[in-house]
Amino acid sequence: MEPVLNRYQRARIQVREKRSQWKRGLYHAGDLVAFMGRFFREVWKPPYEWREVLYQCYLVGYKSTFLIGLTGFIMGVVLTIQSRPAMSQFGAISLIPGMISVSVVREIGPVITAIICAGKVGSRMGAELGSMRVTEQIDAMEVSAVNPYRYLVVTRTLAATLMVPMLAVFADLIALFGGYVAMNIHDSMTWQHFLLKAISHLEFVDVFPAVAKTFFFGYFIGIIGCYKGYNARRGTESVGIAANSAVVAALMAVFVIDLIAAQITDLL
Amino acid sequence: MAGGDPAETTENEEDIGALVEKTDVELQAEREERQEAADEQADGLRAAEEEIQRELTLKGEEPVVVISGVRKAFGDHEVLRGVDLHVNKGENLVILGKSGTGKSVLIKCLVGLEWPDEGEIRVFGKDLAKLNYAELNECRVRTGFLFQNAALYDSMTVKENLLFPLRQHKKDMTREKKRALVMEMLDNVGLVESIDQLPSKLSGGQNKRIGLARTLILRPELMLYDEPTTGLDTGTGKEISELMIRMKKKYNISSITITHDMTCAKMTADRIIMLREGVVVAEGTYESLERSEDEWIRSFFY
Repeated sequence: MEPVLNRYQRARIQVREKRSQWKRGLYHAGDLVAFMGRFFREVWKPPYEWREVLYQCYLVGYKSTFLIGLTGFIMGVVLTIQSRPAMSQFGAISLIPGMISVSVVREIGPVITAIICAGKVGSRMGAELGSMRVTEQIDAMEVSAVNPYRYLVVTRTLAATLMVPMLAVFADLIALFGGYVAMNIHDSMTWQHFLLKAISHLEFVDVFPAVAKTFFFGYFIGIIGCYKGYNARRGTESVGIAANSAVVAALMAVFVIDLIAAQITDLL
Repeated sequence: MAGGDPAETTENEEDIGALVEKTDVELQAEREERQEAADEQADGLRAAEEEIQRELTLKGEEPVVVISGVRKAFGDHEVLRGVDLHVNKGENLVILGKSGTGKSVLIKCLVGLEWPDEGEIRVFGKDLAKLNYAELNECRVRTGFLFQNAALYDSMTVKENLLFPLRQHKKDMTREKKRALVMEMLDNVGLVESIDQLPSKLSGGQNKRIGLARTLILRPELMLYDEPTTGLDTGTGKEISELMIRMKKKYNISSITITHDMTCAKMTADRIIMLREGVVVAEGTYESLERSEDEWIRSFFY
């Protein structure tokens, strides 16, 4: 029979459990920081795996273009349709291109791209490396004197760091095109005129921090996906857990980076 | 009545308690006795092992692998409890033992996938614990490891799997030479026609053969086989064993094989050691161990 505990004893047990959860959390955080730091040490060291980097760029970038493009287009269309009634009340229809360009370039484009990549790329990396860990492929690489961190983690993280900014710029352009299409449902505006108005509202402070933060988004999505997969425990269940937790952690990282970037941009 | 006399019940309970206690004491004594016997046997084998190594050193032939006093624990569970063994050049040592006795952990210690808590491991005359990463990798290139499930890279074709180690370690080799080497290895394992297939399209036995070809492509001096015939039918298992013997003769490879498959052990072993609860309890040829008086040892053979 289990002993009957009074409320103080129960509270003490709960505090002890919470403390061990915190300890575990701190341990994982420390481990992740070390894993992230290792990337900057290993990325400069030869041999450079250009072939694998290019292949990963193809997977992260090219394979995501349709999804990012479609989302960007819908984003532009929806943003224009939603803002049109309010803008027309103030007789400011001509300001819609500028409003769309600022909101898309500053915030919506990079964040939506990062969210899609966290789901698509982060989960793929988590599951792929997790599966490689479970089936001893990473061990096989290690025993054949190939550095698995350099071959698997550096290449994937580098590809994500380079490709996410490109995808974000692509999403921005397609979203602007979507805005142009939506504008022409009720009004008539040429593509050149729309683009001119959209670009004229953009300033350095809108573009540079927005592009800069996408490099961080890419790096964190890549490294977190790889970390979760690389450290998967043995067993098929851990592959699913790795993919799932890679997405959750990468999304959290994206929002935190966005918050920090917003604060920094505010100071500029 | 269901309840019975309370005094009688208490007396019965006491009897049962005494009996359980007695059985526990007996079991404990038996366990201690067995442990003592195993330790004695291990001490004897350790002395013999040291003697052999001394003789070999005097002759100037250092064994390819020397393991002395290796201990390894995972948490409270001690898997290896002072293992001593050696592998001579060109010899295949088979390690037998029940599941969970630390056989796989032991060979993983030889390539730095696991590190022992205590003891010394010398591979090609070098103490693994004292090597830096680059030196350890030099040792790894000279060692081949065939995993239980072959561990082929499933996103690569058979050809890419075989080219992968060459691309990493033979950078100055021409493309034609690499291709010729891949073809030679595939020919060795009889799977030339599968060159462009993905591992997922191949059977378990074919995967093992490709795994063997991949590890042999760098011409290792030492091969470590982790249950090479497990999960295969008798015929395919026999084919793999024959392949192991053929490769050993062709390339003069020393090897350690972990197996539960007695046919494989009989076919490939030059010498067998038996692990029990993390300790080497017996050593000898297949024939000598088959005739052992120890019931536990004989249980593997019949």
